[in-house]
Amino acid sequence: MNHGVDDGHAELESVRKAFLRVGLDLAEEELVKLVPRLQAAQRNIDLIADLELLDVEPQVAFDARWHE
Amino acid sequence: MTSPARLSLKDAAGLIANGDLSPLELARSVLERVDRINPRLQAYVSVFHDEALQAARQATDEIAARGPRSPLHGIPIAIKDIYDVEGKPTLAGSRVREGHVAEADSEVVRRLRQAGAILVGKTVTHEFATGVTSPPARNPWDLDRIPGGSSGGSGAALAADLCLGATGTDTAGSIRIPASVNGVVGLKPTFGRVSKRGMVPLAWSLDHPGPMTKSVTDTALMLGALAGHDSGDVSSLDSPVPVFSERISGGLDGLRVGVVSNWQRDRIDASVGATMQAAYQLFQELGASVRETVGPDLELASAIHFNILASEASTYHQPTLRNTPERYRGGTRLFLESGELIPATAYLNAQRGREIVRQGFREAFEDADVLLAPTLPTTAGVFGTNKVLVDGIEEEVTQAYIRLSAPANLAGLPALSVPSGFYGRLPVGIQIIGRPLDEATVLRAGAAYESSAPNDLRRPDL
Repeated sequence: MNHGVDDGHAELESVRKAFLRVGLDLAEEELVKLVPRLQAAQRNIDLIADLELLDVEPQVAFDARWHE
Repeated sequence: MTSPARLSLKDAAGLIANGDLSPLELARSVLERVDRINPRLQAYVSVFHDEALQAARQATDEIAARGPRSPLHGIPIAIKDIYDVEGKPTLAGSRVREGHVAEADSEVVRRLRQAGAILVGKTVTHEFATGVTSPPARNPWDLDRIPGGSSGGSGAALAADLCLGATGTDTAGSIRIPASVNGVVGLKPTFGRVSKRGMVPLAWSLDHPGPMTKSVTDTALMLGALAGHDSGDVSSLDSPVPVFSERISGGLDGLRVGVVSNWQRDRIDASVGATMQAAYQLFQELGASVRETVGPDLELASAIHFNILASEASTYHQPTLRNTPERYRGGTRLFLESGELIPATAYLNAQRGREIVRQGFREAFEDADVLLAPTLPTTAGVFGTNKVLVDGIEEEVTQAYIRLSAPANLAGLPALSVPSGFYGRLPVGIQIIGRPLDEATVLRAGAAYESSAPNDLRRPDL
């Protein structure tokens, strides 16, 4: 049994379902190209998750003033 | 006599003010070069021949009657095709925008018209400003090489004297990258210094409109026309705007210059390294106090930048990714699709992590007035590939090119790229970064360096 092929297929299926959940029905050849990009994106997410951010607020402040 | 198209903005403005050159002569000179050279260079998407000549005639009459209303009066300026020009399409380099017609000028264009500038046409941008190669535009120093991006058309047009100033936008380096590889000057101002109203966004919290020119003095003049509060842009800063052109003389005596040493050690090609060392030495000879400092970690900054960029860009493109996905170029589509799966928690953590990058810069500026670094780790790559060589190692061009420029986008700091020489026939640029809203010091440092650097008079052979 080729676990590598099964793992690859499982990953592709997982990615396909993730995109379906956000409303994108992508062809397999597109998904194949996306997998390495998603892996790189996950590495970025993991790197940021290791930061000490306890007292740090994101600068997404809302300006309550009314502007003309 | 020098062709008027080859003049700097400042010199042309001086001749116009003295009556020694008319805007009509200048426009004709520029348009003649555009007609002759653009078919090979492909810097322009569209050229406003008739409108430019009409505007130049009008400027000629106005100046004859009342004198110039600003240094940009009668000056031909190229507009990156990411900014709206009333009645013209803003294609943003994409088939997705086919059929678009702008209903009003963007704020940048409105201010240029108010200053009396002549709009030459729309320059090529990498699709939706998402990349650094700007096809189909070429590098005027070597037509087999890229002009950088995403403001590649503007950079190429300037270097080839197809305009006397140009607009760009910078989200990860898209003004500074083409400035460096085309041998021109490009400024990413402080975030919010120049209004974003009427430009196609890439990432709302990272986009910076700014000028591209042939000299630092020209940049100061153009920034003076563009900068200022706009209530129609929620991120526009309501801060006083100095007369930048009056603040760029004065030399570098006593200026504290920090060379970002950890960026220098991060994979810099030999093509860039030697000119950087010479530049740092020149700053010292000019009276600056030069010392090494440490900037934000580049790997961390790249990770944070990507999460913010991809999340915001994908959000903007959500409708068209569903309705007309086939109209995107393949690479753009993959980038936008990958952003769709970044969770909100990751985006917000990246916005929190951004504060750490900002703190890293604040620490570097404790002992420095400006920071110096290369703009890019290497020179212009080969057209049609997405790879560049950095210190013998092949790298994907976008990641290589934005590595040293994206941190200033995260912190919103003013950052200038100034030509610092050539490696063979390919230009190299040095990056000068300043404190928030301190474009004046950045421009002063750039002007002093530019006027003292070895004067290389070569022009692209076109």
